[in-house]
Amino acid sequence: VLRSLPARGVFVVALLVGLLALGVWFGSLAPAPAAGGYPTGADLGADYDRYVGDRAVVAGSVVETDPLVLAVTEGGGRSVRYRLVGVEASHARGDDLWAFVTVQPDRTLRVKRVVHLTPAGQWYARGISLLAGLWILARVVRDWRVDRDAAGLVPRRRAVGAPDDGRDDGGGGGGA
Amino acid sequence: VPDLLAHALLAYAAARVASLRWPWLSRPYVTAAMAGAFVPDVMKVRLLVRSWRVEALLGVPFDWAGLQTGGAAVLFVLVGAMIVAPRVRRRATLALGLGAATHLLADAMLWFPSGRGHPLLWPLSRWNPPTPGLWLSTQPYWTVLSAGLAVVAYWTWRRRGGTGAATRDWWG
Repeated sequence: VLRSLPARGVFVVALLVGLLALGVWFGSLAPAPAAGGYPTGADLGADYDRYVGDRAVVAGSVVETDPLVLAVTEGGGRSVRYRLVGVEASHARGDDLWAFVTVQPDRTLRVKRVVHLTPAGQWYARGISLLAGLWILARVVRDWRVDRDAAGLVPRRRAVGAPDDGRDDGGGGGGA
Repeated sequence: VPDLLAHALLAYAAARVASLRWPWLSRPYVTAAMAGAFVPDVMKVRLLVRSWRVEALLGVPFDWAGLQTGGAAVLFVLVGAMIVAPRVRRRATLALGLGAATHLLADAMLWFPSGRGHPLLWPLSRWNPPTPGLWLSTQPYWTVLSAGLAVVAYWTWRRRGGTGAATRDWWG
């Protein structure tokens, strides 16, 4: 099944449509707090009052420190400001916070657990992820090639017993 | 989400250990497993194109988070299965799936403020598994641990004469 190039192409398109559909489906779901799917900033932005008394997960940037005010991006790309109460650590403007909160009236969120995503940490994660992506790409290029007859990727053939055979440079972690 | 390097190293370690049991899991398939571990991180495009922008474009609700689920991982792996030549499809698909599985499992270990992770089984279930909350993605501990596991896997494989086992079936 699905050996010919056109058939595989059609199936790939169907899969991509399926992925898009999953994104749309997920986006249309209401929060499911009982299953651990808590309301998010987008939900609060759409209808705050509906969630008063519920728990929610929000992420945003500190825009005022006294009182602590968090700007959270809501569905339309605008940001909505919420007052954060119950935060013990002090935060500076521009700090990115990720918090589990209880929704209270008047756009006030009582924090149950919060973490400060430091700029250094975020740049570390992005930078090292980029390097890892390049490492994986390099390995794919080195280990796989396009077979025109089969119209697909196949492992590269190496002479059995050649010095580089079976060598694997991926173990050290220093590769990226 | 731990950083991608941690995911790549974990997938490497898992595939290398699996290759002791299944010798066909030669280097190209270890690489395929690493590529499979990359797949759920396609979600990272959300950093460039936010969900609400896609919503504005499509005119319907959209959330990238739907792609960081078990169901989406299956579809991604099937895309990979279509890209490889049919004669190596089964092995490539298993390797990609192994990598994607290590990614989802590692993500389920992370710290989340709510204590609940991504909906691993969606769309079968909306259940967000409770997470032990080991680390944040912005902390390097995961990467260090993964590198350690990768080194152990590599040396174990070498000591067990993995070189021969890997070359004998280079073709997959």
